[in-house]
Amino acid sequence: MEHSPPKSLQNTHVKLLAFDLLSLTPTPDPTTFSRLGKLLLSRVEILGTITSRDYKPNKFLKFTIDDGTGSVPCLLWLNHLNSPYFSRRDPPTVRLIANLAAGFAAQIKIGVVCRLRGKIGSYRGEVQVTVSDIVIEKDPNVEVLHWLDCVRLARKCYDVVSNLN
Amino acid sequence: MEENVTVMTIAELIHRGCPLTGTSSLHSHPNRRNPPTFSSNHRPSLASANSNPNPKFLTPLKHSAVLIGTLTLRSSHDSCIQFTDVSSEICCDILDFNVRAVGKKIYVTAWNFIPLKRGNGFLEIIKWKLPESSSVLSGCSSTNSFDSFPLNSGSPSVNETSTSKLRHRIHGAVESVSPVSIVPCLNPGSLTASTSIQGFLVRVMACECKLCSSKENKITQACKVLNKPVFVYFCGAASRWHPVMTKLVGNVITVSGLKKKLVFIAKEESQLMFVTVENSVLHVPWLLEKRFPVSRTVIKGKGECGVYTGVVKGVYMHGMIVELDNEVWLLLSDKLLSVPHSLRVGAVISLRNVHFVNPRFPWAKLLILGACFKTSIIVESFSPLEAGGGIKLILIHWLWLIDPRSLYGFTLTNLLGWCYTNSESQSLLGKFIETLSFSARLWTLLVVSCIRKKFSGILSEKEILGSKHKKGVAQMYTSSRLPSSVIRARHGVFTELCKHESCGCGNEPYCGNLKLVLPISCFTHHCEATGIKMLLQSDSDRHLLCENNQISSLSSSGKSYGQSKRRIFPSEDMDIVLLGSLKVSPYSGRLQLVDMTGSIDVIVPDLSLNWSANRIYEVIDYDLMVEGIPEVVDRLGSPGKELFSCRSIFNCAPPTRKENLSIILHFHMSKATSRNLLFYPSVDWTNDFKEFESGTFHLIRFQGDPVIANRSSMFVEAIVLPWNLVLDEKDGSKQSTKVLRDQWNQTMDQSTSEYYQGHVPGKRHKTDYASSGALSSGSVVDLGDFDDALNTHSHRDSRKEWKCKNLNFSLKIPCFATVRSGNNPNFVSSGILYSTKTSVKSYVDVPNLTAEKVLLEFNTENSLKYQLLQIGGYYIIKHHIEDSFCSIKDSDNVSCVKALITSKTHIWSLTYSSHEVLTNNESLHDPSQKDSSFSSSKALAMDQIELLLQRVSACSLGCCSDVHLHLSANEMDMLKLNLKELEGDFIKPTVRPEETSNTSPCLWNAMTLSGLPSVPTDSNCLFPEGNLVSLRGDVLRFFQELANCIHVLVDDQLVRVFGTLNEHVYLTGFGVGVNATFHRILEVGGSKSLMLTSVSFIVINLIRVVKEPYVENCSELLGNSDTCKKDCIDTVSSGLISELTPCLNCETMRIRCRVVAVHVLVLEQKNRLCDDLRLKTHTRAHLVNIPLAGFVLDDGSSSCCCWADAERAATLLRLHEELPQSALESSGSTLKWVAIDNNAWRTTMYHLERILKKHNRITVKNYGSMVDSSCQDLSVSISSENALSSSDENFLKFIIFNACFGTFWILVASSMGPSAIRCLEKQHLLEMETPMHSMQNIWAREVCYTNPITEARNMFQELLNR
Repeated sequence: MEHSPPKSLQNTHVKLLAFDLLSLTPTPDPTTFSRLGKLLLSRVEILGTITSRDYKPNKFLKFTIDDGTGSVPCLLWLNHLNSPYFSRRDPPTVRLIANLAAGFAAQIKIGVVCRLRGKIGSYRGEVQVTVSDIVIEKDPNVEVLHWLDCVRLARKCYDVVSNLN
Repeated sequence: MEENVTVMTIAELIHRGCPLTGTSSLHSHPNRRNPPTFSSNHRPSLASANSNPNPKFLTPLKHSAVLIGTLTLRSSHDSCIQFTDVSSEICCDILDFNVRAVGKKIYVTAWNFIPLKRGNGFLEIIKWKLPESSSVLSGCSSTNSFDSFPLNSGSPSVNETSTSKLRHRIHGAVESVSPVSIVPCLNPGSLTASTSIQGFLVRVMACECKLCSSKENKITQACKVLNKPVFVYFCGAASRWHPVMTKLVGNVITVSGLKKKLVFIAKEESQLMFVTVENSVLHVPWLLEKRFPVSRTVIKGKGECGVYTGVVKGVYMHGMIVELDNEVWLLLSDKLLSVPHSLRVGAVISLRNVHFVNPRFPWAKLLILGACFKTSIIVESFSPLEAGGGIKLILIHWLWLIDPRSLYGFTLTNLLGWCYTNSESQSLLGKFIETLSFSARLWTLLVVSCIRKKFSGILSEKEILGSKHKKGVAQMYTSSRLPSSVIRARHGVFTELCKHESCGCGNEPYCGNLKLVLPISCFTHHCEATGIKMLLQSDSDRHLLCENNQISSLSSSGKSYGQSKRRIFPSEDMDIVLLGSLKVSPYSGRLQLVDMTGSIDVIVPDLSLNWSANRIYEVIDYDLMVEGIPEVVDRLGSPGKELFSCRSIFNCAPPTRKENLSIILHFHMSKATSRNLLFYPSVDWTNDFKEFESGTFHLIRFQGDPVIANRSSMFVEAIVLPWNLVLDEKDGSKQSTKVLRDQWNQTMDQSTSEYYQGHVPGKRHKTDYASSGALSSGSVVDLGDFDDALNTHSHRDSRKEWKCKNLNFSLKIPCFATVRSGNNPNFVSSGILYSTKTSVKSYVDVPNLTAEKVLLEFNTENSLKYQLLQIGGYYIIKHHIEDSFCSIKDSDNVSCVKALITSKTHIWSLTYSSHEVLTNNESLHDPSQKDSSFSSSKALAMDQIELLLQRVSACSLGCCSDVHLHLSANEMDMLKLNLKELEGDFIKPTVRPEETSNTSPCLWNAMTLSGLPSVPTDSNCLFPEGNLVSLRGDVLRFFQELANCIHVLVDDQLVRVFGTLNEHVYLTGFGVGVNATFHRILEVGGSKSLMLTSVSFIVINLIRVVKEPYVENCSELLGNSDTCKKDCIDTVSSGLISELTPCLNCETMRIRCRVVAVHVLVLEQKNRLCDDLRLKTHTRAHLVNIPLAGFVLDDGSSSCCCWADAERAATLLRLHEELPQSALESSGSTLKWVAIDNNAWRTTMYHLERILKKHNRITVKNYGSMVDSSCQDLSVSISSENALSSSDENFLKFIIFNACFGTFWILVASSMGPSAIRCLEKQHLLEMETPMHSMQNIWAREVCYTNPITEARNMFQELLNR
């Protein structure tokens, strides 16, 4: 119940600009990444324009998202119905999740501004985000808001945490 | 004389009878220089000079015309110089008057002629000249520099006899001229043969030098030191020189041949003055020498005297008030003042010796010019307008003020002569006004004008204005409001001129606290103008908080009531008093304060059941609520600068209201004074008051059970308690058993004798008697045919009962009753409560009394009375033998009957308490006097009475009862216990309402459950069930889109009141922030959900404006709710989830976050029954209720578990948003899109409702990830036995996922401390076997969408400021 000051923000979708995200370093735990060696992160929320799209039906959708500070490779799994990972869960739910993912994939088109949350991972030594959910943003102001959010959070939260640590 | 100039005669002008101006000669020779002294008609700028936007100019004569005649002075014509030609004679005024013209034939080349309805009319001489032949003045004195005029003859001729040398001579500047007055001559032989003498005083600043005062020396103008004030009394024939002397104010003159006399100006005060005699001579220099400045440059407004020149903008109140320039008001109410004819709208007038007074009224900024006996009015330029006015009109209306009847017998001569002769017959009002200081005088004239307008159709002019012998309403009101300091004694013309300063003239006491009485139409107009201005202003004013209702933006579900702005003006800021009577508008059904000019909606929380439409209430303390939609208001544009002007009061037609704003007046009856003015002479005002002075009152209590309303009448069930109240004389000083016994005996005798005489109680008022047997058989037996039999029966019973009472008079409780009275201050009366049906002698024991039920029937006329009844409240009804209620009461067969409550039946609300005043009153507690405590008790001391009154008034706000009983503590306990027992007997009603009204049997079935603990709603029943209750609380939210849904905070508990109100129940001023009492609302689904029914009624107790809407209270979950409820989005500081302090209750923060996962969700179907009812006339409402939902939120800094219910949960679940197409595919549903064009059907909510209809309660729990939306493992459970289809289950899961795929929310949330979390766990989570997660827990108070650009701007600013 008691919530102690976070030393890690692994359960939080941190908002990082692409350059910041891409500069995270891996830790022994493959699900955890380190920011400047002081803050442990696992989940991220980024926002940017889709700049590339590589679609493998029923397997995955790979795409990149560019927020002006860098381009982040992202992966949206579309293999729910085939993957053994979901085999233990009840089929209707898996179907539902698969449908939702397919819906996301359909929305991801080059040029759209997309907000996504996902797990930070790495692929071939590069940071890659495994997508949990996406929202296509239609209001261009959200980009500015996101940048400002990133700056504020860095100042008020991420940097403070690292200083504390 | 020039060519083409015709000569007109006065007779011709009079014959034409129309306003005419002959000024063509002024314009025909543009090259000719007009000497400035002979000015033309003044052409005021129309915009500024005239309040009338379309002034009518005098018709110009097409050709040049001159009038040839002589200027003469007539002693009978005050202030009027006469112009006489061959044909006729006419009053005239003359610009640039020269004394030389008096008695001469003059050529009038430019003039205005104004006809008068009464009389010939009058002539305004703009330009004149002496005939060339008379250029050598015959009246020229030997000095050649002076004109000399013998004062006692009409023509200027020098006839100074040798005797004149014996007389005195004064030389000086005319400072002031008094009006002409009449002095009764006690010793006629000494002056003239007549018994009275008329004349006027002139105050001259004279030269003291021997040269000037020497009787022999020649008149000279050499002296410049004019500093000795002397008085010259122009009497007898010389009094006709008044108009001339008025025009000479400020000029240097010499008067010779005067007699020096000691004149008594008051009883014991004398003044040395010069008196004109037969051969006195006025010497006026050829070249007039002005000695006074034309105008004062600095006007302090403290009563100082000076000169003022201005343009007449309006003449009001029949000439008593003249408006000059911009809010400068000339008061001419002194009856002796002589006003020139030519004082008309558009004229430029110059006032000499006028008092400047700034009244400092808070409600208007203006300058008063107070005219006194020193003041003289000179028209500097005539008006080119046709506007009337003039002295004759004024005189007529002064007469009218004296006595309207006196007009009929007057001829013109009488009228003009009135100033001389009728001073005796002035009305009381006129005399009263003359005694007032100038500020008070203006206020009084304003109020008189207002009262005339307000009650013009109700009262006669005489009743309003009074007469010579009787005060009118206006005087009664104004005199009661004016402080004594404003009244000054009047001493007559002589004293006030001679001793001007010491008479207090111009000495202005402070009148800034005088509140203005306004006609309601003016008031509403003023409020509208002010309200618009205020609504358009920013919210900076700390006194006037603004409610900018943001609920609609906060909640996507409903459009909240009133996106309008609301302002409240306390009466202290208005300084306006309202007079009017209360009426229910036949059009809107709202309670209104009305007068003849208009009406205003009112809220009177403590309106007595006995309010009378015939009373006039004076409302002093009130709150004015102005409400309007800013956009609409904005379109109206800014109001003009002229927010309030006295002109609007004096003008007959007030500006019409545009009804753009709703204006509501809120006041307490306990604070409004019902003025005892004879507004309705037919009504005996003391009647109501007398009701309390003595007599017996039955004690009843209204039940909350079966109340049935149909079209024609309404019923309410009441318990007739076996207690009667007897009140003694009102001052509480005399109390004797004998008196009381006498009263009772009398009452009893009366009743018995009436019965003996065959009085039929059931004939006058419809009264149904029904036996218990008839009731049980379920039908009403109308026993009207058996009246005789019944009467005999009842008589016997009642007689027996009375006898019993008298003999066994042991159970009695002495008390003091504080009675709220509209007419007078509250008063204290002594009384006793005695039991009606007991023979128990013990004082202490609670007797075994029985109470009975009765159905009281209210017809439509008394519907307001019915609506105001409080369930569970105690009331008393006065015992009147002819009353149907009392008849049945006395019949000893009280139960099972109904009685009609008519407009004559008075019902007073009653409260009681114990009070130390009684405790301290030894007599009441003396055990030895127990048996006769009442008879021997001493009178209450005055201070005790005061204390009682103070006590009652202190607690009266909002909970005012008509009668409050003060009992000693012991007796109150006994009474309480007794009443409780009595009422405990009434769990089940004994009366079947369907027998008395045609209500539905099903409704009755529901009613039979009343009195029992509330039953959970059963969805299978067609009608809602529950108890009818009254409750009072603060309205936190008010949604009107989907019927009424009102969130009310009652004792820190949130309750929801929903449903539609009866069509004739009107929510005047209802809205967020008000404190309201909900009468007769139905408890459904527990005590937190109540339903408005057709018999419900809402009384607004208190209006207030909240900065922001109250957020919904969550007291159940959050311990300290009081500190939370006033939070609002804008005032709450924004922050990050990581900044929330764990373990701290009620730390409120505004966070912008997204939903990551749903922890748990409980969905319920709303009460369908109630909704079916309330949806009769409204658009459909959703039937989904969310008792609890837990969301995992994330804002990038941390995540937390947010608990929400109801609309907030629905918003976070995006239930009101359009259902994504993929939803149905995802859930594998076979749903068909029906009625696709209706947006409501596309929402997620619609489909959720469909599922909930099958399964009353659905719980969704997440056993999977709390931090990853796509990894939630959702489990759905249902309460019904119906199987949940997979498509429905998938759909429900989809809803959860969909909630997580949304964008930002702005959330106002409070952190939950351990106690709140425990409470939550205990109440909900343990039951659902759902564990809490180790996150910060917060409670959602408001949820709304974000505006990215606004958020970005704010954050940018925040980052910059860092």
